[in-house]
Amino acid sequence: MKLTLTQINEGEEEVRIRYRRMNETVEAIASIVRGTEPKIAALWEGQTIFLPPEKIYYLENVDGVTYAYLEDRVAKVPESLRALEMRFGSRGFFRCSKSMILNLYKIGYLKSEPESRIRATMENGEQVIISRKYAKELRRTLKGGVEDET
Amino acid sequence: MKRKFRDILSREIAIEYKACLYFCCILAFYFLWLVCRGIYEAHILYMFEMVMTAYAAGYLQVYALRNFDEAEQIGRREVFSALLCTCLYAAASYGMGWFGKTPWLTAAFGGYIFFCYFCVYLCNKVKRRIDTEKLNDLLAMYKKGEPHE
Repeated sequence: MKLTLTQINEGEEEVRIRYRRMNETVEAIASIVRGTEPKIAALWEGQTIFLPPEKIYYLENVDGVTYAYLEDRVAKVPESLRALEMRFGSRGFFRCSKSMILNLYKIGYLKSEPESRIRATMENGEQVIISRKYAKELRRTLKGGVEDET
Repeated sequence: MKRKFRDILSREIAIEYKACLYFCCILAFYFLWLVCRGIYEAHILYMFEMVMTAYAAGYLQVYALRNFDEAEQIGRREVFSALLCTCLYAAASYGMGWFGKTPWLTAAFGGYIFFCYFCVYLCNKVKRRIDTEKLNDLLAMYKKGEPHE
């Protein structure tokens, strides 16, 4: 996506988005501009913070507690994975196992593994193995919900 | 329960696939051997024995030897596993007299099977490499918000 920034000296500041097809990225930019960007309430070092979803690498449930993993910190989220999946599924959050949701926009590299599994390397270097069951769903999601026969 | 059934089914399908693949390899060797001797008729019992041996090797490979021909890299374990299955095929061919119980031909057959395992390993590796490229293309398109073509 091409970005053009123009500095103005007077008049109202304006953001104009030219898009061919409405998608998650365009929707996310629009919601930032509107100030309606959904955030995830989380606990970090005893304080409540509001996390923008695009900063989260992945969400994991450990012993019934949900954690959000960011680049340099881990915060506790008082919501279930199911609820988060419902809220942010359309924004690139993908259920990659029973206990984990990946942010597809934070995946750096995907590697096809034996037995139809997929190894996802996140932008921070962490690696996640996606089982055959979820790998099939990942392929479908990446294709925009289109089922491929190959 | 459903998941366990699916896992078993998936393994059984893998065994079917391997049995067919290696049976074809054995058959190619067997037919070549017959044609070289000017014989144009194959022994149906030998072919049945070959299928059964391929199934046995398939079960061994999937349930006990970690599916070595689909491994990510070749290590000592994979070489040992391939040699074990090669020995099984060679012993079966010698014991059941597929190639007339000739030691040098049994050895050649063993070498051929080992080579087949290596070729299948390479094919699987290339297949995964192509799949990796395709996956990363899809990921890049997804991130850009472009539709899949």
